[in-house]
Amino acid sequence: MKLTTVRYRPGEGWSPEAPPAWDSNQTVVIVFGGSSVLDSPDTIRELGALYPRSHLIGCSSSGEIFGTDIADDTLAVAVMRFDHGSVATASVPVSSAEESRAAGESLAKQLAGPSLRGVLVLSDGLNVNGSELVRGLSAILPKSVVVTGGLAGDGDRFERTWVIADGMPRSGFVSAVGLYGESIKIAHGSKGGWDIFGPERMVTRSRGNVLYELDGKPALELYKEYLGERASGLPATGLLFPLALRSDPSDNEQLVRTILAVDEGHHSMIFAGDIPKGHRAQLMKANFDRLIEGASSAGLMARSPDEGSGPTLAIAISYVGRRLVLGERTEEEVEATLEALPAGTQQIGFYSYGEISPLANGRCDLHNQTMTLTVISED
Amino acid sequence: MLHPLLERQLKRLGVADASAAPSYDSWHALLERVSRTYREADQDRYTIERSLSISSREMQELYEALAAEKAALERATDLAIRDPLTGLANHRGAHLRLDELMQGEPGRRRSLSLVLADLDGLKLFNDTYGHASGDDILRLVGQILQQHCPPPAVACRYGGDEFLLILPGRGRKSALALARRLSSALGHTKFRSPAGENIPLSLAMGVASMPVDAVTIEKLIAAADSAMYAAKRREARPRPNSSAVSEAGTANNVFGVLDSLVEAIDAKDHYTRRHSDVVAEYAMKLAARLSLSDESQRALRIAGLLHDVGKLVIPDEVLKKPGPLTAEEFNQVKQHVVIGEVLIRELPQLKDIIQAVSCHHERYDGTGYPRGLRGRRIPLLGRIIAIADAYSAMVLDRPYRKALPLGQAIAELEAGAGSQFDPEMVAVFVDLVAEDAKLIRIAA
Repeated sequence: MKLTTVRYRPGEGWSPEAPPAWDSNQTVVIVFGGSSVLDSPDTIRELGALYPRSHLIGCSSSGEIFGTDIADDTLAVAVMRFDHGSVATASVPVSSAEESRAAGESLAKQLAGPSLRGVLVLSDGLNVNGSELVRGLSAILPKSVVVTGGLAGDGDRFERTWVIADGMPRSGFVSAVGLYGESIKIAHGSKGGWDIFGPERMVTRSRGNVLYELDGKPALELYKEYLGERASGLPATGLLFPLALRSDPSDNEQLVRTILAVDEGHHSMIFAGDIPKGHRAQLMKANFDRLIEGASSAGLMARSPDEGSGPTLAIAISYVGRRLVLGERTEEEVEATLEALPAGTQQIGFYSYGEISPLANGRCDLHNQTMTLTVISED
Repeated sequence: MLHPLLERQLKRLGVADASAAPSYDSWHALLERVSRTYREADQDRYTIERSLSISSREMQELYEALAAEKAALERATDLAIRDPLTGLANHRGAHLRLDELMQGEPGRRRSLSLVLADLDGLKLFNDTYGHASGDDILRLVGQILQQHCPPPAVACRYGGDEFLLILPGRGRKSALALARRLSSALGHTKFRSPAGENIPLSLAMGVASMPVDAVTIEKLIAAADSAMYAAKRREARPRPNSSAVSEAGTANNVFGVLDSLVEAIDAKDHYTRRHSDVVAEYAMKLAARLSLSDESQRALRIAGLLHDVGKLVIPDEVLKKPGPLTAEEFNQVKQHVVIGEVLIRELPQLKDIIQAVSCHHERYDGTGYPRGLRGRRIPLLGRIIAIADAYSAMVLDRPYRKALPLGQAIAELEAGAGSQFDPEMVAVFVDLVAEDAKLIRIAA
């Protein structure tokens, strides 16, 4: 396998070098960039022209990861040409969250094949129910296929996201790349680092993913009280306090829900997944050390016993709320992942509105608040 | 050594050597980044402190709400077990307390006496002066009973005009003494009717004690109830309108004597008392399994409690010796059987009990003492007490020896079947003990 990672900065061009001329139908080009790419898609178009036979996939971000650097409104690109493995891509339009499961099933059907090893899925970040998308994929694909990926980001704005479909950045699409062949190795790791705190409250009024009341009081008011003067930064500052949900006190598995938007008119909050009435909800918080430790653990989880010495690509997909908490120190988490991975690993990635990867039990699911790593190499 | 964050910020600005002065632009960019870091740190601190303070307050409110809920629940529970008129425990409260007292192994339970008391003439008083005045009398009597029942004793309003005194740790003698003090206190209490008359207060009281009168709460209450009705029926009271006290089983005075003997055993040696309780319990179980008459079962209960009564005269240094006895000491101990028989033989109507006490060290093969009786010549109740006695001695801890495991105790009994014990009885007893052990395991 040949691998290189390059970065494009508007006004500066490519560094450390221009993308190599490795076009082939065994080549994957992965691109992460700012949402402003939608306004000027020329660079993506040029990449498509440079790699006409290759498989181009990518999405918008809330911060591009390149090595141990994090930047906004750049393009972080990985070009990977397999020696033996083969590649296929698929895209599906999604106009509303209700279509998410069908979109997952459609992608899986297009990519399914006897030697399929893994699928990297990149989804629109605003109009897709990530949990349903994953359910659709898992319903079709065998458990042996590793499904990872994430939901596209838009800084801390939650206004518009894009995914590359048919060579161009588009809103309202889900795309995926399938990697085939025994020679391809895919490892993954995912870890959070957030803790629940304060009292557990009952969801007393909600509809779908819209939350109105906790313990009979407006949930939006509760968030504003906790945020104080930072409430003016909603919905972004709402990311500081995700919600942990469980169906009843005897349920040990907690789901994590993250805020996407607020509706001041209806005094409601919109979350990235359902908030069922009658469930119990508890606020979560993060601290710097626990997040860095989580990133490092994700790196260690993504190590595999039979890793070779050849080129290795790590795709880091981290939750946007982590960047909000870590601020100027965000690079420390991408340093932590690289430190935990084999020497020489090249890393690109993005800050997302949701991460997709298998749980410890092997079942794939949508996560929030995690650092999720997909590590690809070839024998 | 610079902070890793500052080092990274310098590196990102291309300032590789922190000791060299950065360019003007880099310097400004650095200041901006450092300033941003400070701002983030301020925001972090603000968020953490604010969320901690709010969640602490919320947890405190939750704690207070829970405490208030718990207090309300306790109040509701208290109302459910308390008589609102007198403030005493009600019928339900009385039975909760009795159930608590019956927890634990029978052999470790303390003695327990009940006084069931009926207020004389309440109905007449109510009919004459109205219920409000009747309530005043009930309140007053309730106060007097309460004053005479310091913890752990409990005074309860058991029914309309019935009171129950629960007296843990007290034998019959002590319970009778309390009843008499109450009788005297009521005799000295004046209650003035709305018409200005002095109304004399009196109770008909029945006393019953465990284990002499019964070994279950139901039977103990029934015994106290019978005694109370006996007191009520008694026409000749010491003086008109005075309280009357009657004891369970007062058809003769034998039981008062037996009760004193049981208390004397307890005072002499707690182990012997516990051992006697266990012997009584298992002897009765075996008797029930053999479908013996109620009379025989009652005799076995008393025989179990009294079978070692002769040990009252064995010196402490021999009785409690923590090690093997000399031959002379052993002969002394053996005397307890004969002494026991002597102590109780003058009591009337105790033939079966005397036989059981005097034969509990006879052996089935005829090598026992004191008479060397053999096989079925040993009275039935004696053969039963012998098995229960040996079993109890094996399964209770002694200061110098741990209790044997259940399996080993059963093996010892089976080994003695036909030589020491009646083999048919051993088979039935082993079944009974095995079933009990199974029940204990299931409960555990």
